Amino acid sequence: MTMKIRRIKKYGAKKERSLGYKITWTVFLLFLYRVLSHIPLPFVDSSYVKNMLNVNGSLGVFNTLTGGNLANMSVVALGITPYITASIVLQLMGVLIPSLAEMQKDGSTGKKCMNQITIVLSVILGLLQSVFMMMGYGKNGLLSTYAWYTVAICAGLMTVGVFVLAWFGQLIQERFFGNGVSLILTAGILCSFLEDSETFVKALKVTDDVPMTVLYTSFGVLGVAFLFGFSAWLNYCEKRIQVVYSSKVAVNQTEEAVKTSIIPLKLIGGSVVPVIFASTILGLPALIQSFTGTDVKWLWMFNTSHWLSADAPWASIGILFYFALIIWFGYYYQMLNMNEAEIALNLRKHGGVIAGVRPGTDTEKYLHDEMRYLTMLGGIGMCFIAFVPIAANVFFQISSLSFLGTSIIIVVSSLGEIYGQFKAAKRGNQYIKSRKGKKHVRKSKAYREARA
Amino acid sequence: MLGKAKRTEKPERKKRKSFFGHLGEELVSLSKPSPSKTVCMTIGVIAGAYVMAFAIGVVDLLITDVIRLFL
Repeated sequence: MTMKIRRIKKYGAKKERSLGYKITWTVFLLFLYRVLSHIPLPFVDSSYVKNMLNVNGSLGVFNTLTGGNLANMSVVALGITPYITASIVLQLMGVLIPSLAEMQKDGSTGKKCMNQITIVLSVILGLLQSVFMMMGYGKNGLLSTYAWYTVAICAGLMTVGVFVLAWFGQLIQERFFGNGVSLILTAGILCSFLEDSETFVKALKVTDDVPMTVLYTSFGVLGVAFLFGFSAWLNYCEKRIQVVYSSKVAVNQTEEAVKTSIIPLKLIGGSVVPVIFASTILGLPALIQSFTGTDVKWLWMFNTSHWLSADAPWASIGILFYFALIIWFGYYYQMLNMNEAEIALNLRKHGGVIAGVRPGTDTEKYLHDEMRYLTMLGGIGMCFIAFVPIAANVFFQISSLSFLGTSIIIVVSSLGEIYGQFKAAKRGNQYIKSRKGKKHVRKSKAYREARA
Repeated sequence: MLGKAKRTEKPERKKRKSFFGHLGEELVSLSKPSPSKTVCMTIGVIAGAYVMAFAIGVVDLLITDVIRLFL
């Protein structure tokens, strides 16, 4: 008996922590992240990177994703981007390596294994990135003393920073509250929100005429509010596919009703992931170029500062590449997360039919088509939001503001996720409380007397 | 009176919708949040973002001060 109890304790369900406990630990880990982002790297002159950021627009996008840590050259200068890159690489490799694809779909055990591989790969990528960065920038003035030991110390510290952030992200996701990676990204973006608001208002002050300035500022503020609203609207749009079951449920003693349910398909199913992936991939050529200190002309396509500029109009092709990446990653992510064949099979098993569609292969094809169109629509919406900072850069030179473009999608999706999880956790707590209440009632003397 | 066999009319072929036609149809059939809900969400998101930004700003100032004490 004792053995059995011990076994249950060892392998049984984990104790569910309270919402307060989870939120407290999440906030504490985010606080530690902010502490780390204030610890500067030794031997480093951060003004060198700040100058580089002014020249290279794509590095600005990269800097936004790292939460401004690249500009400050802190211990976590690379942010959580190596972890994101590692997860992209692993997901793409799932197409080439079948065992990896199986692992991705193998429930919690596979997920655990994938998480460990992602962390290892992110550390390797972080090490490579930091070594190249220190060797490339170090020679040109980033390091006060350019020697093998300064490169090693800085690269080592940056790699440790990558590991710590990746670990924090997974810890928050698995044990605490919310999506760890997007929370760390959001915290990084939000830290420059107040400062950027001021820069934005200053940029809109194009004349000394007060009424005109007020008019411009109002339009600017309304435009940003519209972007937030549009992003939130995109997040909540969904297609509800109605499923009718052959079994009937009793409404009362005489009546019966047809059992129905809904399959909700979100307009942006991948949420913030496609945009993060696209931004990371887009920033890579510019990053490598800046490490090597070269200026290859055709790589201007990947440099956002050259988009829609008069000196190199051909570089604007990069915008199309960026949009294609956003749509493709959205489609790919949706394809990984949704198994139409399995849904169709389950519907058939339980006697469910989508209205007007035959069960089996037809249902599978219908779901696949629906997903394809929805992803395309969501992708177009996201491309519109991503285009705004590019256009704003042409008129006001304010492309790197934290509340324009991809950052808005990240912040809105992350806040939406937090709100959704908070609501779900609260509902769960209420249910547990009500169950406890019922137990209490059952144990009470009055209840037992009434039953007797 | 065997007369001519009646020519049966071919049923009209359904026009295949283009990709963009399908996209338009999908956009119409989406379940969208109402305008009032969208406005509420926008206000909520902006307020939430600024509250978080303010909190992070305060924490950042505190951390900077503490780090300055040590360095």
